Amino acid sequence: MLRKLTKFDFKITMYYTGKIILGLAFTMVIPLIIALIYKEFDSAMDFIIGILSSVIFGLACMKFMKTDKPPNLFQSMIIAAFSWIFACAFCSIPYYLSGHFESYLDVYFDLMSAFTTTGLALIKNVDHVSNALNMWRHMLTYIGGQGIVVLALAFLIRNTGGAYKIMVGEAKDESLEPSITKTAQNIWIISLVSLFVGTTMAAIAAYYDGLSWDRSILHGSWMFMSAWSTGGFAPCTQNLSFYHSYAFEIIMCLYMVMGSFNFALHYVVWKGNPKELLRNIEIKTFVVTLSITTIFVAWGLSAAGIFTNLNSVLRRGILLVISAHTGTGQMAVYANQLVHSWQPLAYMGICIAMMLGGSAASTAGGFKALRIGIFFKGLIHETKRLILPESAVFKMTFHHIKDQIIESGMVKMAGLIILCYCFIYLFGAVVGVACGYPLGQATFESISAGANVGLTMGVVSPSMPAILKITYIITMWLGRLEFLSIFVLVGSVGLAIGQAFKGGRK
Amino acid sequence: MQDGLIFNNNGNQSEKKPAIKNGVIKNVVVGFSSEVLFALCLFAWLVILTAIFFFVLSS
Repeated sequence: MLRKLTKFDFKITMYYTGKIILGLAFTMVIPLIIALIYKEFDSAMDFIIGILSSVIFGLACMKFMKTDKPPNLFQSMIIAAFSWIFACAFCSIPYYLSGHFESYLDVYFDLMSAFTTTGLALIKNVDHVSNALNMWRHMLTYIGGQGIVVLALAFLIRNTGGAYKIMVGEAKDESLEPSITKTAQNIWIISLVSLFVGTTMAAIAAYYDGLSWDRSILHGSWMFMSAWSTGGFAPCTQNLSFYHSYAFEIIMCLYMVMGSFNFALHYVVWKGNPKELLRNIEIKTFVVTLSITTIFVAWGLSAAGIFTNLNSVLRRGILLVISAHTGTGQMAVYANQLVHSWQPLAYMGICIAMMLGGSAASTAGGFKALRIGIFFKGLIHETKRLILPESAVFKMTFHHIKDQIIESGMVKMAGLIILCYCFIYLFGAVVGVACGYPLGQATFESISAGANVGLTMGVVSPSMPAILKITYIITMWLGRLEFLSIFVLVGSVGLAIGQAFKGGRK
Repeated sequence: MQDGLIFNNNGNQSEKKPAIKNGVIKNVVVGFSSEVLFALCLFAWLVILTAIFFFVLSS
């Protein structure tokens, strides 16, 4: 018996969505302050309109849809999926009013790209975007990385029985503390401490690179947010190449890797258990897969003789592998170079790295190291079961925060989600090819969108067909929320439409 | 005795250190540094891997 959508489901969804939108309205105050400091009054007005609209909507939802009941798992899944749609709509107001986009579809694409920490951009003339809008673009990736529901949980939704379920709906299913509010707060404390340290490091590097002190702080914070949230946006067209700084690139790589770690891992390590770094299944899997993809790229680039010195291979090739594997998408090569100069083996290495992604419950996308680790352990387990005598009893364990036994349900779930990712990669590639793009570029771009990476071979541009933009918006959304909450939303909406249709016929 | 209170000890005033807070900060510093160190070691490993392939295949 399928669960039907009720009026209460709608009411509770709108109530929590209102709270989340209200939380996002407060975050718009930061770019507004930047706009006032730099006397960007047009931008300031855009943000005031954005704040007012979001506050009015949020308060209206909270007043008229008020409920004291906690959401159940079904409602939580819908809240998580639904709030992302509304969050993109309200946060897009300053984007749309800025005049840097050709259409509202482009605005929505950029918003979804930011919130899902993908980093693909349709914004025009990015080098001349106001400081306030640049701050907002990067803040969105930073907020999206931690999760907009997590943000609301940390600061707005307190003592709610169903809060953990909403967070699960947003693919942040690690409970760091018995209290879910405390878990969400801890995720934000880890991110804010990193923001302070990372911005300082990047700002110092940018200052020595020749930027003025205030530009250094701005660029340092933007690029840190981009790397830590594995977003990949940059305030300049040239992305990471703009800075021409070894130190800056190393700092960014550092935060790409750290940003792709599971928040539970950060928490345990920061609680005084650094040895967890060496025992955790996700880290072990990440090191192995990163090494393999590095070999592909190093082999491909070296054999083709594209770069004449090791330094260039490292700064162009290996930086790109790290960027791809962590799901960041910061680039130190141009899309044209990827299309025309890169050898197929290197190209394949980057594609595989993008597909795999970082850790579960992190800011990264893709299959996730935890699933890959569990899936392969499960394969070994099944092979052993067939080789050993039938009477043999054995169990397989893995270490993630604590020692855990691998159960068949875990392997099945990991395999299922991996399969879903493969499907969206394939779906995006098919639509890309149908729109007239070469297979290689269409596949690369589709993986980049579905795995929330943001590297591009030049397909993503304001001139690409609307159908492809919509496809990428959907795959970015699916990839970020890891399917289940969106399937629940689509399924229940479909059911409701079916009911209405049946009622109409009667 | 609460953390941070000033109390007398044989006529000398001293301040009791907030032990819990110090412990938390120490853990965060150690944790953060170990993550940075781990990432740097990983980069060193990737550089070695790349160098091997570069020098073998380029020569």
